[in-house]
Amino acid sequence: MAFGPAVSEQGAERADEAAEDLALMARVRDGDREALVAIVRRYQDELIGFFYHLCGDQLRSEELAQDVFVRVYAARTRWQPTARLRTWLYRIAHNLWIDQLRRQRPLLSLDAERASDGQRWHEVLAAAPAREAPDEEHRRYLRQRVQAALAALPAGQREVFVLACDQGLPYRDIAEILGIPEGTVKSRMHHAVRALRDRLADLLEDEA
Amino acid sequence: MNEDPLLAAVQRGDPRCPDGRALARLGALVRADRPRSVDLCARVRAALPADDHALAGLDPWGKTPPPPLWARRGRASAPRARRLAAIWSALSGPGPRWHLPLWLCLALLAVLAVVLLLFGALQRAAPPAP
Repeated sequence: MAFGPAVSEQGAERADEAAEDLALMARVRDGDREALVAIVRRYQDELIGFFYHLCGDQLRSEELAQDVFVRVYAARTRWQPTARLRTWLYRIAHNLWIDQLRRQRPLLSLDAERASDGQRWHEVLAAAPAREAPDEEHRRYLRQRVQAALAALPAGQREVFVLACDQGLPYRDIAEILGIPEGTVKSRMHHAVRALRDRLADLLEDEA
Repeated sequence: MNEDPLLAAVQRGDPRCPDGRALARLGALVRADRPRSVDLCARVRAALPADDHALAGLDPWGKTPPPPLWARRGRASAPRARRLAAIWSALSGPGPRWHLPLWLCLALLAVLAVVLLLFGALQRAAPPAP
């Protein structure tokens, strides 16, 4: 029962958010660009974060997120009030990402791509954690390890893991966004977690 | 409420999962890697053309078809849904969406022509009525 008030507050917040989304999209459908800007303000961080964890590139993530909002405006007349805005945004984002993957080879290849400081990814993965290094350097090291581990996942598993872990979405919503059965989402998530635990074992044990 | 302990552990550090602490740490590690916060409002405003009609050709689904209904309703396996999506994608091609109906019309015409040819051949081959 201890969760009761918190859960109901969270539920009320979500309902308010959904109602505001609905009102904003109704305005966008009528061609109100300022309503779209309000939606941008509301979801830009989420979408940039989504793309960032998929490609590991800040600028590219910003461009892709911007493209999602332009497509929302372009498709505004096709939006149905029955569809939740967040799910709809992620479906557009997912399709944009699939197009990106088709157009070019994967961004991160362990053999060819280099980390931001010029090291190859397998060197980064093999390197010992810089325990004595200053905080910033250690954070950079952690970031590179996490990005390399995510990049090594198959694209389907990576997307499910990012939507679940970073965006905090439930399996049902992820299945709707990706157009796959919920069981497949769950199985991809389990495989992704197992692979990430193997690749980042030393970092996870540090704190356990 | 999501009941999968693994998801709960990664998302919120739920201790019901046997390896809850390690999974919570994994989730925290991934979430700690945040992109810089950027305001896209001005860029989105600038990216929208003054004339809404200029956006008419922009497909929100890109080159990828929307998730097929048959996969969502569980009428086909995911691999089959992917194959159907690939066929759809191949037929749609890089051009406009009317490519698919055009191909369907051409296929129907071809079938009709074959049937007419067969019918004509059978008529000729049949012995004359006494």
